[in-house]
Amino acid sequence: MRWRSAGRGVAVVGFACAGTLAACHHHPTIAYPKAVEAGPTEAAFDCPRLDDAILKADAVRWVIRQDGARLLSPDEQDARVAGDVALIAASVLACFLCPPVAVFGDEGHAVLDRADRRVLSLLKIKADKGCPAQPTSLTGMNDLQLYAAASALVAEEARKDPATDVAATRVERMRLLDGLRAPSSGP
Amino acid sequence: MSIRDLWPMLLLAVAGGCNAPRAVAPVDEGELTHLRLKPGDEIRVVTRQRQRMSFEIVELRPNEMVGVTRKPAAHETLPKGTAVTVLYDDLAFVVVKRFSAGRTAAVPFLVLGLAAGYVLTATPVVVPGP
Repeated sequence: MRWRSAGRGVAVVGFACAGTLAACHHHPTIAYPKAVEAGPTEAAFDCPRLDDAILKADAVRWVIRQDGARLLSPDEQDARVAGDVALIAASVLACFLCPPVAVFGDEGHAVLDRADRRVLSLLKIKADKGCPAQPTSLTGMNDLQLYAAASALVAEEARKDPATDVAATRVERMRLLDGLRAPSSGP
Repeated sequence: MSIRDLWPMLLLAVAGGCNAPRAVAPVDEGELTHLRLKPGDEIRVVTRQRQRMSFEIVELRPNEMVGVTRKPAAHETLPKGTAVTVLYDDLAFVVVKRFSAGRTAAVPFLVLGLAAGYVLTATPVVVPGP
């Protein structure tokens, strides 16, 4: 167990160093709206309006992805928090009135995660209502099948089973939701 | 370094606080009316069709708004001066600069915090002598 913890610590330091060398990819170019999970308002929508809401939520998510956001693995998240604390402390010690130093941030992880959850919550309502499925850009998968696959990944992540490869589930979730929109429903 | 040096920071903070960009997704937050859009406003929108554009509103109609694009921001493709018509139903979200009471109210606390930090870092420490 101690080895495991030490290994995690080494991974965190490694990711912190790698993060220092690598430029952050998420550069917000626009203020994002709050992406909240669908509630009673959306639950009252009929099927066409739900599809409309899903496309709009997907457009918000697409903007976040276009700005470079991605879901991070737990080790990458830890490393960025540690790196940011160190950078802020260093900047305060070095020069109080300097402009704020660039911090690693979270590569847009939190905002993308919220956008994902909004899309999935809308798809859940759609599935619960028995609305007709729409095609996606993923071969052989419609949006309701995509929902089943992506929500299974989220549930797997939420179980916090040490055997689960959270990084892999998040990469797969990004791949699935990136493919939600059929080529004909967008430019 | 004197208190005079804090003025530029104060002005920057006030400018940033008073005109915070606000993003609203109509589906999440109800109608657009509470944004109080009016002709002459410069806004940025993202549509359901994944179009991104910045434009100045020329006319607000019952179901759509008409505008002329501004200098394109990042990831925007329409050239400056293009006439655009956007249906309200197509809006995924709108960004408009609006007065932010919260941020503006936070400015005095920010300045006080910075000043306190400055005092803490600038106060010389006297090492006890023998």
